[in-house]
Amino acid sequence: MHQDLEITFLEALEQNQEKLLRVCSVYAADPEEKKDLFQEVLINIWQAMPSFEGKSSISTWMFRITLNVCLRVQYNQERRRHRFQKIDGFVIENTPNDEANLEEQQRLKKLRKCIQKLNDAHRAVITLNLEELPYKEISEITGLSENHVAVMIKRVKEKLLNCITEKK
Amino acid sequence: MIEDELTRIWKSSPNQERVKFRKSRLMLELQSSLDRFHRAIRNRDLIETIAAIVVVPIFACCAFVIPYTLTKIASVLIGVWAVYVIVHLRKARSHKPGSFTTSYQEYLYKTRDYLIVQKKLLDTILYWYLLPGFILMLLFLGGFAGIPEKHDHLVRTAVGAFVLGVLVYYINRRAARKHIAPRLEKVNELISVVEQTSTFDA
Repeated sequence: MHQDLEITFLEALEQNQEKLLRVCSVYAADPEEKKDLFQEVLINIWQAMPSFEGKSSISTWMFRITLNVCLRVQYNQERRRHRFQKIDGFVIENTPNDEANLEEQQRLKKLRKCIQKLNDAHRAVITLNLEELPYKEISEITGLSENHVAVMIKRVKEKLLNCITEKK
Repeated sequence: MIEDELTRIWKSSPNQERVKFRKSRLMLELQSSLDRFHRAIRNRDLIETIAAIVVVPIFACCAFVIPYTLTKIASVLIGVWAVYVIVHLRKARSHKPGSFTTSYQEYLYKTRDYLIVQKKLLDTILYWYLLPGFILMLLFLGGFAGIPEKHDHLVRTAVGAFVLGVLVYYINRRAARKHIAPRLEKVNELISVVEQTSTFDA
């Protein structure tokens, strides 16, 4: 890959890494799967870099690829496992957590579970919204109209609030 | 619960996720760097192989046509040396790690070994490539020493070969320093990140 392209890629990734990872988290069943999915996303973005034309912002473009990869990969588990044989050596690091952090993580886990229960379209729209992307960008990424996005977000948020507050 | 709360919870990812990305980034940087390196090595080996394929028949003809014993011996030895160079390069290249190995950690270890082999190859180029080549060239030219009118030409050729040899030596030392050493550093950095993570997990 051309040096300039590589620099652009790494800079864009530096800015968006956490956002992309969070999007991946709602399409994966466990941390290992999330790790694999994230790797798949990175490789796809990396490979697609030469075709980036700058019609939209690079972060919008990256989110689009991330969503496409997440949707595609969830139906193609076997191929993905084979592909990532190479990075088997990677393990999830367990960082020590304090009480407050643990509680926060429980809530995050619950939120992710609630999002995972949504259908593909709702899931895609709400993850982008939670990343605080403007409606216009969400509309560009998903191909839905801005109005449709706004209505969908309102509905899904209500659903999520109900889901996250409901007792088990 | 207000709606902003959803966004706040959503963004409260644990630290481990950031550590993992550091690895991914290092991996991608390294892979891109290694891809370029592998391409350069492949091109170098290809050029050397073509050169040897050209050199062997030319010097085989010289051994036949030129009547001077010293030149005949040198021609045969240059052919042998050309083949040795190919074998030496191929041997070094055989350490190249495959794309799919048992684990990424294993892949990194193999990559490190491969880079060390390639660096050693360039560091020792004087002994397996330049000196034998230069000595054989002198031997080849020595065959013509009995023709006084060729002396000037022979000296000029020998000096030219020496200057070229010095240039090749410095280019290769520079390549080892500028292209292999930083990659080796990157691989070691990634190995230490992977090993550290494995230790944490254990």
